[in-house]
Amino acid sequence: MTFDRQTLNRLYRYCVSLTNDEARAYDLLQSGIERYLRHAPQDLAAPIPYLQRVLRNLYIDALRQSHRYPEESLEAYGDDIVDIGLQVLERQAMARSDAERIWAALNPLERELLYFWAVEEMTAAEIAERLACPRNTVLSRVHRLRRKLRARFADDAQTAALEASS
Amino acid sequence: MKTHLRTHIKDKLNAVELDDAQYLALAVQAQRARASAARSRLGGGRLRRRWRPSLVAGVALAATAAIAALSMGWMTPAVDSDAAAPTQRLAQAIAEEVAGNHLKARPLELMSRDMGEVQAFFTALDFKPINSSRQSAADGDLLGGRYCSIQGVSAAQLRFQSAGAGDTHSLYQTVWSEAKFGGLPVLDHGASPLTAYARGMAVQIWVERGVVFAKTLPGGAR
Repeated sequence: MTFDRQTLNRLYRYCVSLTNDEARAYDLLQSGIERYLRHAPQDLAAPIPYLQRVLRNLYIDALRQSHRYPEESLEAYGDDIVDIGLQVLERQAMARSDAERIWAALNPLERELLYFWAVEEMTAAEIAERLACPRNTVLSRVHRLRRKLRARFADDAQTAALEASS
Repeated sequence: MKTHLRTHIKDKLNAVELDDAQYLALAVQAQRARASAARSRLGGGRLRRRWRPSLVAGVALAATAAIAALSMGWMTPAVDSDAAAPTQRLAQAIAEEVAGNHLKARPLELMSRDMGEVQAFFTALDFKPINSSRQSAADGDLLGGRYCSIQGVSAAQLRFQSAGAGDTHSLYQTVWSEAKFGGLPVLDHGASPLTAYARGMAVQIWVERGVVFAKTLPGGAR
């Protein structure tokens, strides 16, 4: 694998999506490259997905050590989640400032999901394959993400209404 | 104006890029890790693989903080923020960076008392580390070196230990350019080193044979 500038920037963006902090993203990328070069099999067919998994595992390990890893809910979701898929996100339009606020409020798994969807333009099935998890897990995250978006916009709408009435 | 969430996320993340110093540091790291792995496969060598993930980020942050402090007027008492000449500001920024790195005393990547081996080690630099006319026997013995950066430019950090008290000092070297280091005293033109103070240490800075040197003085001597 050649670490040209384009590849490194792509990996760096993935790290930023996980950490939401450029300095920590850079540290993570360094650690990931070191581990990759030390342990990766010589004949890897898909080195970037492999390296992304390395980066992800490193970051999750670090979060677990600091007890900041977002626990996955065991709550069961209805069948409607499967039907909704990522299309619900396609319809979300907002001002840039709202998008920034939402991004800052997301946890690493949610930001990672948005990275794969928005930057790498993957489908739910492709994201599930990349993350080595069932597609329903991805859809559950989409569902929670949508609830978070709704809550955020509901809060904003309430605040705006209060401000308008006062 | 409202835009789709996907567009916001894409624009936000695609705007994030490694700067030149970060990219170079990663390229150097990859080169060294590959070389180390190759040596391991061939039965090992003398170089110690010591890499610290936060080094470059730390150096970059320190440099950024120093530059930010300079630009915002948070100068140390050594240089007056308004009256200081650009060269003094540059010297102060270098001193802050160099003193900070020296005090961290990070592990050497190459341990050797032989300057020839040290020169052979730093293959990813744009220059060859050299002996300076300002070094003398009193500076002690060479211990080895590691990659670092000064003001965002890749550099070599050489560490020395004096025979008597056992004090260590660092000698940083990087390639000179007018754009980055113009104004620093050039010994070849008969100038004398500048001394700046940071973190309780004295740091001498000069240019010699196209190389910028920054040397922490043993014991922070004035």
